[in-house]
Amino acid sequence: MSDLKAMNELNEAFANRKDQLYKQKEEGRKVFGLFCSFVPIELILAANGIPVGLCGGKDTTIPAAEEDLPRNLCPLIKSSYGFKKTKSCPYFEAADIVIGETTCDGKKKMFELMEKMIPMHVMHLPHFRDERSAKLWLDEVKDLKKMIEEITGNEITEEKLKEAIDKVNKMRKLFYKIYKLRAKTPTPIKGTEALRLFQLAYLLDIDTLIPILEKLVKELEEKVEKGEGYEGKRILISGCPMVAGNTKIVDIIEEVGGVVVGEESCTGTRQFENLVEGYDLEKLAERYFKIPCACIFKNDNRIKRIKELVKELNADGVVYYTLQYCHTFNVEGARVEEELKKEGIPIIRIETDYSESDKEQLKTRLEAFIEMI
Amino acid sequence: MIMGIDIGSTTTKMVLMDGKNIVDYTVKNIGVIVEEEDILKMVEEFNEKYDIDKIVATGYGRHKISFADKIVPEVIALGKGANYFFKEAEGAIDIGGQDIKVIKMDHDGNVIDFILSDKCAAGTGKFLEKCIDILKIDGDLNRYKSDNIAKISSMCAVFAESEIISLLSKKTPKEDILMGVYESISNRIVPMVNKMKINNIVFSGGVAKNSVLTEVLENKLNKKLLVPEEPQIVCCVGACLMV
Repeated sequence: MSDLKAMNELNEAFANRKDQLYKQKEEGRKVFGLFCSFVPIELILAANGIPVGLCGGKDTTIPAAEEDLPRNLCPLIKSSYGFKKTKSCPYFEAADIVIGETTCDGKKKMFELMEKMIPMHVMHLPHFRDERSAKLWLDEVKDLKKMIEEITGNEITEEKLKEAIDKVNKMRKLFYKIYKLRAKTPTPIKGTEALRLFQLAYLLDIDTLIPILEKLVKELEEKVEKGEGYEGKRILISGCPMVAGNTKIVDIIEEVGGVVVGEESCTGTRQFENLVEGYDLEKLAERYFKIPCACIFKNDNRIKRIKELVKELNADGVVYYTLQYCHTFNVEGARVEEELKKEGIPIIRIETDYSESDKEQLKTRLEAFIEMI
Repeated sequence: MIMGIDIGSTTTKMVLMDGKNIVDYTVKNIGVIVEEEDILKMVEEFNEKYDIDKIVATGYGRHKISFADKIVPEVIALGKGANYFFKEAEGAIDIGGQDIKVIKMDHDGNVIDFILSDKCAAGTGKFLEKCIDILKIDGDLNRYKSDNIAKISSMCAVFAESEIISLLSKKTPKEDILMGVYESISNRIVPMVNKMKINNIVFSGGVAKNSVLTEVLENKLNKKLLVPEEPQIVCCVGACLMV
C-alpha cells in the first residue's frame, strides 16, 4: 500500500484493466497493441479504438523467444516476442493489430517473425531530422490514420481528432505537473512509484487514468506544501525504456540511499514532453517527430535536454541505463557521458538485462556512485 | 581503536588501526561464505588484545556484519586506502575475486570516478585461480616466468579453459601458458586504466602479490605501479579511515 491514495487507485485500476479491456472489446471497440512512444495514440482514440502497451519487461518469456531469436538481442525485444509466442500477455491477446516502428534493427526484423502470429502495421520512422524526413513521417502518420479507420470502421473526423488531441494533451500536462513537483526537495514521490505510474499509463484506459493523475497532482501538491517526501542523492535516470515488470535499476538506486527524481526515457519524459500544438495531422506528426530517441542520427537535442533536466530536477547525478545489445542508446551513451562530464555532472553508465544475475554487482556500483557524488 | 573488516568474495581481511597507524591485521582465505559467528569470533580474538571502539565493514559481504557501526562501499574505501599507503596516488587498480575496479581519486583519497568490470569473470582473481587450477601449478607463482607467451585469445573463463587444455595437449610449457593468462588479464585491465587517464596507480588485491603479472601489466601500461607490502588490506584500511 502506498501512502498516496491515487497510487492505490492506480493499482486497483490496473488490477481491473484486463476485464475492462475485454469488455470494451466485446462492445466492438478495436484494440491496437503498441511497442513505442512514437505512435500517435490520438488517432486511435479519435477512431474510438483502444491503444494499449504490450508486455515485454520480464525474463520469463525469453527462453521461448530464444528458440527463434538470437540470444545476443535486446531483452525487451526477446521478452515481448516471447510474450506473444507463449500467449501470456492479455494485452497482446486482446490486440486486433500491433503497430510497430523502425526504431531499431532488432525490432524491425523481429516484427517480420511476429507477423506470423498477429497482424502488424509497421511505421517507417525516419532517423534524420530534416525536412525530407518530416515529410516522410507525415505520410506515415497519414497511412496510419487510414489503417486505423479501416480496422475500426470509424472515420477520424476533424472534430473527433480535436477531441482526442485535447484529451491526450490534458494527460501530458498532468504528467508535466507531476514532473515539476518531483523537482522539489524533498521530492514528494518515490522513484519506484513514479516509474510504476509511467509504466501503467501505457496499459490503462486514458479516461480512467486522467482522474487518477488529477488526484495524484493534488496529493503531491499537499505533500510539497507540508514539506513531506523523500530525501537522498537525487538521481536522474537516462536511457532505455523500463517497461512494466522491469524495475531493477530504480529499485537498487533507492535501496542504496538514492532517490530517483526523473526519467529521461520512454517510460518518463518522452511520454509527456511537448504537446500537440494544433488540430491537424501536420501538427500531430510534428509533436512525435520531436521525440529525442537515440535512434535519431545526430541527436543533439537529446543531449541538450538531459543537461537541462539535471538542472530542472536539481539532480546530483545521472544513471545512464541501457539494456544489453541496445546499440543506439549504448553508443549514444559515450557522447552523453562526455558532454555531462564536461559540465561536471556525475554520470555512471550501466548496461544490464532482465536477469537477477548482476544485481549484486550493480548494487556495488550504484552504492559507490551515490556515495561518491 | 578502529577495526576495519573487508569481506571479499574469496578472502576476509581485518585491520586494526589506532587512528593513524596499522596496529595489527589478518587475512583469512574465506570469503562471503563465512558465517557471522565466525567473524565475531575473529573480532573477539582481537578484542582480547586491544580495545576496539568501532567497527567499519566493507566488501561484498559487508551487510553480513550486523554488529558493524558503519558500512561503506568498497570502491570508496579503496580510494581512502590507496591514499593511506601512497599520498601521491591518483588512482588504483583492484583485482578482486569477482571483479576489477579502477578508480580515479583526488589527493585526499576521495573517489572522483570509477569503472567496474561487467558481469563476467574475465580478468578477475577467480579467472586467474581457475587457470592455475587447470595448469596444476603449486607453490610460488613468481617462479614461473617465460619470454614465450602462449596466445590465449578468449576473455571468457570457460572458453579460456578449453584453450589452455588445447595448449597443454600440444605440450606448450606451463610457464608459457601462464604468461598468456597474464597477458589476457592485462588486456582486460589496460583499456580500463587508459580510459581513466591516471598516473601514480596503486595496485591492490591479492593478485598484486604476483610480481610477474605486475611486471606484465606495468609494461603494457608503460607505468610503474605502486604495490603496498600487503596489497590485500588496502580496502580494509580505507574502511578504518572512514569511521
